[in-house]
Amino acid sequence: MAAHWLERECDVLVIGAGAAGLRAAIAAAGQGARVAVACKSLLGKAATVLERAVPAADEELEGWGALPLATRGEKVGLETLRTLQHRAVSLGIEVHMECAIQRLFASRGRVAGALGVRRADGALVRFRAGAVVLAAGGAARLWQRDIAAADATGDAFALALDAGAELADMDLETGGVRVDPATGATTVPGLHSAGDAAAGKHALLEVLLLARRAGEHAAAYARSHPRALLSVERIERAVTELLRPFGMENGESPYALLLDLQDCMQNREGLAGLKQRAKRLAAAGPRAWNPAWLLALELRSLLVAAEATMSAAVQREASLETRRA
Amino acid sequence: MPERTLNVWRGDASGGAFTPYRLQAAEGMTVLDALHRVQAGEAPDLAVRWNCKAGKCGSCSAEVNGRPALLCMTRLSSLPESATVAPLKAFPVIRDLVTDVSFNYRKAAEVGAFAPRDATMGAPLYQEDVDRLREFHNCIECFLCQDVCHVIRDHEEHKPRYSGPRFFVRLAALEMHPRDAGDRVAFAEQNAGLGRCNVTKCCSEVCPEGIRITDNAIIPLKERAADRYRDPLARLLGLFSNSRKDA
Repeated sequence: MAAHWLERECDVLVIGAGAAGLRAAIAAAGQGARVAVACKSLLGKAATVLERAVPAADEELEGWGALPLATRGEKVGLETLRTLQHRAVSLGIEVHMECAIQRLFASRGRVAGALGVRRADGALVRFRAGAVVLAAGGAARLWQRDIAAADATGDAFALALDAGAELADMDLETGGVRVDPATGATTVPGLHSAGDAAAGKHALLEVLLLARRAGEHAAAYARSHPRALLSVERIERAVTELLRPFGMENGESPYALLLDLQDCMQNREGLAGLKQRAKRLAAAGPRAWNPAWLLALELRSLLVAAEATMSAAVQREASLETRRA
Repeated sequence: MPERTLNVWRGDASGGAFTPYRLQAAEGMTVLDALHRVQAGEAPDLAVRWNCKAGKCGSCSAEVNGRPALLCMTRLSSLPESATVAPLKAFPVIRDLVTDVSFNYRKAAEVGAFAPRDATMGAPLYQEDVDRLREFHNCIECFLCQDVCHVIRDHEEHKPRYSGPRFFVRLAALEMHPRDAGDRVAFAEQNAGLGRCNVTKCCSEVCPEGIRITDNAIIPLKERAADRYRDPLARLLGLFSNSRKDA
């Protein structure tokens, strides 16, 4: 079967629709950029709803209709997310809900767009974009089995590495995509990051401020640089990889592999074996809204996040040993 | 632990049927936990939306034994030994328990933004305003109220000009916000189909956040609409005075 995908075009592609992604999207649109947001879930379901640390006040959010944040207690995340959601929608920002970005492309060292899976029908969607903001959250699902944000599967880390960007401090809670905090710029031109995806632990209002900068700088980058070109062969190759679980006979269950990976994060052993098993992940059934397939794809990101976390820990210990010696 | 049967609707837009899944119920297990166990076992491709597993995000809406509910907040112990799980009936099925809820996002886009003016932005926001609005702002957009609303559920022909309870809550929140200058009563009456709601309170009954949708959002909007559009004396007086919202 010939590889087939849909084409979408924008100036700035924002990956993720939590507080960081939406704030970045609003900022980029404010600079006149044509913005597309792609998020794995429905709009308004991001892990931001679980945020409970209450900031004193935020004039900008209140100017967009939020109640004073200090009055919102444990609903402060919901208040923030809903306010940004309404703002983004009223600005006419294009939102691709339930479109899970799986690959980020770079060409000649610059960001060149992304490829995602539309959950509803399993269609593959290629986004041409002048700049990208990675705001896809962290990798909480590596650790959490019970109360968990389903989407926090470390996608931002795998996507950043796809494009050649660097990660920092992955063994610490502050770990993530390395960025210049003044601009949200990663080490790859055109690629920005904000929120839990980016390195540096920030409270809600700092996340909003840094995401705004990332969105503005992404818009400026897209405006001042010609689009990077990408060969069709690279997209075809990625499409083939994404569809591989459907052809796998007697393959691995993605559900079982996730449980074993969560154990591995506790025991700190066996990751190499899990990576081998991940090559044989299988999904049966149709492409439309197929959770086994979607989890199989997410496991690539989870394994990248696991490996980055563990190798960062090993390096840090070695470096401490050297200093002690 | 007792053995239980979940009869789960499996299918797509072309049709489907209930499939029984038997499982051992663990202490405190929710319907969503049970469905995840079914996915990990005999039905890996069973489609169900979920995110926070804590009743905060409103993703896992479905109908359990015919009643709209969040799957992550419905314990198996609250159900009979055999129970059914079906997709929301008011929206088109995509696959299994996942429905196309884009109707709600189209209606949200029609409402438009919070619209302060320079004159209203300085208006005080008193504690009583916050107390009244807080309830509306707690909506998690699970769309259970939309699912149970008979106008949406049973009258496809009204959907183009009817927004439903979730958006009456949103319009009430804007209407009662001292700094919003939009004419929300006119929108509710003329664009959102407020008059079609006949206050059966089904929406309030299924709201997982306990928002008193009918009493606190819909009825006050209806009263304001009635004052403006159906009270002849008020209409006459309205010719000679400008209310804040009309200014």
